[in-house]
Amino acid sequence: MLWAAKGLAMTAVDLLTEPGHLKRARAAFEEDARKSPSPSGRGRG
Amino acid sequence: MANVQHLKQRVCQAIDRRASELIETADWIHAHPEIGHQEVEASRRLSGMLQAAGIPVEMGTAGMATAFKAELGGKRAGRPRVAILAEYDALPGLGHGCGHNLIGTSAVGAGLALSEVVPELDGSIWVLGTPAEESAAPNSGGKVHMVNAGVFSDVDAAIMFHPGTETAVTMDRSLAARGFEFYFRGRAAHAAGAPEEGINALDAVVLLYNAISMLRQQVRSDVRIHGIILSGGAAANIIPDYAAIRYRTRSDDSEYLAEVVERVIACAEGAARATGCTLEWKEYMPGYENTMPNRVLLELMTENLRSLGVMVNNERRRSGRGSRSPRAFHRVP
Repeated sequence: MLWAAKGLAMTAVDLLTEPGHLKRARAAFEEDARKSPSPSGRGRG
Repeated sequence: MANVQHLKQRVCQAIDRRASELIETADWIHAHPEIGHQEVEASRRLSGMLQAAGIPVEMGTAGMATAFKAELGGKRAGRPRVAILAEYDALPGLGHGCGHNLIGTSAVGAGLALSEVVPELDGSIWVLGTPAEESAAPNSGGKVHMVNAGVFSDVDAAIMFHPGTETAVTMDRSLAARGFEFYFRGRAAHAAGAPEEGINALDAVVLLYNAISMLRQQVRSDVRIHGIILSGGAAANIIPDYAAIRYRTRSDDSEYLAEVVERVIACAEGAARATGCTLEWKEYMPGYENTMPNRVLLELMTENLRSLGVMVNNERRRSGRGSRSPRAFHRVP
């Protein structure tokens, strides 16, 4: 739980100190949304 | 702008200083489980920790009494904004078997640590307390209600963790889910004296249960359909005129799930027709879409955890777990 708290806090620091991270995250999000409903491309059983 | 590594070091040190308090809080919530929308003490305790640190906290976010929103403003408050999500509800009869006591505490721990450095950051942070995420309470789905209330419209990224059997950061998606209750009504009769006068609602439930058992072979392997009988009659010598069953259906594909739902409803309609019962049904919980993990955020989290010496598994694996952050992840990375 403490590792998780640290990871969350550190990641928030990343996101609010380097604007490029949020831009890339948004781009990845929109790309996955376009590929929905199966963006992972996993094969089906 | 202060050195990023130094900022990260400071937040980690802040969490270390609060380690005893955070562990005690998680243990306390675990020992005092509260189900969805009844997390009065958990939300009070978690939000109280943030308030005690001077962080403004709004209670009752999106009209939910046990929800909260803590705001940490940077040197340029407002956007961009990162939300750290906190869950703290328990399962009925089981308590915190899913570990939501850890989710809420870790989010608050992160928020407390970030409050020490946020004045040096561009943007702001919210710690969002999202109730009723176990889908076990009526009107469950705190994040769904927050999405509907527009809370996530002001968020640029949302992050959280969920306990598991290993430390992993993967692109595996958790499943979309929809839940249904089916109510069959027939006609009561004496089971020995005049069974031919009865229309057996329990027969309809049994037929539905068996039909779905057979359906499982004919759907994709990511699909899960599981249920319980809610009502099956009052006495063994009375043909039940009312019976009910609850099902939850899941898939890692929201669109395919809709197809499965149609087939489940068809099973129910067939059971009603075969037995002569009437059928009513409803969705008893807000639908959850499959999560869409964000590879950019996952890479950052992986790198950060590994920098702390944590062994992180990035291999893909199937997740049978239900969605934890449903519609929020279809609105914001």
